[in-house]
Amino acid sequence: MDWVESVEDQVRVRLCPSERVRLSKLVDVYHPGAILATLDNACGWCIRQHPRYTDGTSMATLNLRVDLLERAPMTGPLLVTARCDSYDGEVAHVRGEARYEDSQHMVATVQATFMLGTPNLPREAVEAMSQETSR
Amino acid sequence: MNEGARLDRLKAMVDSDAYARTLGLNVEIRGDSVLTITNTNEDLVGNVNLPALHGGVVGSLLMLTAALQLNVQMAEDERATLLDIDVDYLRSGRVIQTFGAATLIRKGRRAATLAARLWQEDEQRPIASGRMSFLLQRNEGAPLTLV
Repeated sequence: MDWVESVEDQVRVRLCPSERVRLSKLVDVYHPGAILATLDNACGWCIRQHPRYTDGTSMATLNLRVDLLERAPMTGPLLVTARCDSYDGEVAHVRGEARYEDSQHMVATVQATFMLGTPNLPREAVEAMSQETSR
Repeated sequence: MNEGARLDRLKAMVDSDAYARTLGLNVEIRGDSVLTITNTNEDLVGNVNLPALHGGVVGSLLMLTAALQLNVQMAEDERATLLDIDVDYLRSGRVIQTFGAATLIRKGRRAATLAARLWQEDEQRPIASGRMSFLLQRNEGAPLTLV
């Protein structure tokens, strides 16, 4: 997937046809897993576009719901757009969709919730720090 | 279909799915239950600081695990298409072996609903769970795909 652009509170990410994202050797459609992964990525990236986002704030996906409106033949690139609907410093709500770049025909939608300020160090480092603090 | 033939069919489906192969997904079968075993690697990481598996990878593993379980319980002329997936991320996924299992909640003539979960070192501490709906169609001539 490729970063395309960010416009105000939205980001756009492109998913291009390739063997790695083909459903099977015999069926020339985008794999739903690849569409889901692209939607998840775009959702995370768009939170960084929110005016209240502070640089360096870590985040983790809490919930992600994807509706696949139809199978998407690999006739051209898909453009995934995501926008952050709310950001309160603890939680961000995001929604987005995947459309064919040329026809704008929609093939999938996403709604996701992210926790903000989640641990961003290896578990071992966090445990060591909490032991240090408790001494 | 006996257990060996079922497993061969599932393995052939995983083999023909380039995305599942990219994820490193393997499948085992125990009676009527599917167990997926994924040997994760650094290419599947979303957060490099932790490091933690990418949310899209976790969602895809749930999706594929459910699809494999559904295939065990479908008629041979049935084909399944994923309609929706709802994923709860419960813990960060480490870059270690990851297991998956799914339960068929309901299978009707036209649709099926499944729940799936993933875990790593401890089955009682899942890293993610999900619910999926599949459309079912009878079409013996259509190629077999997972989702």
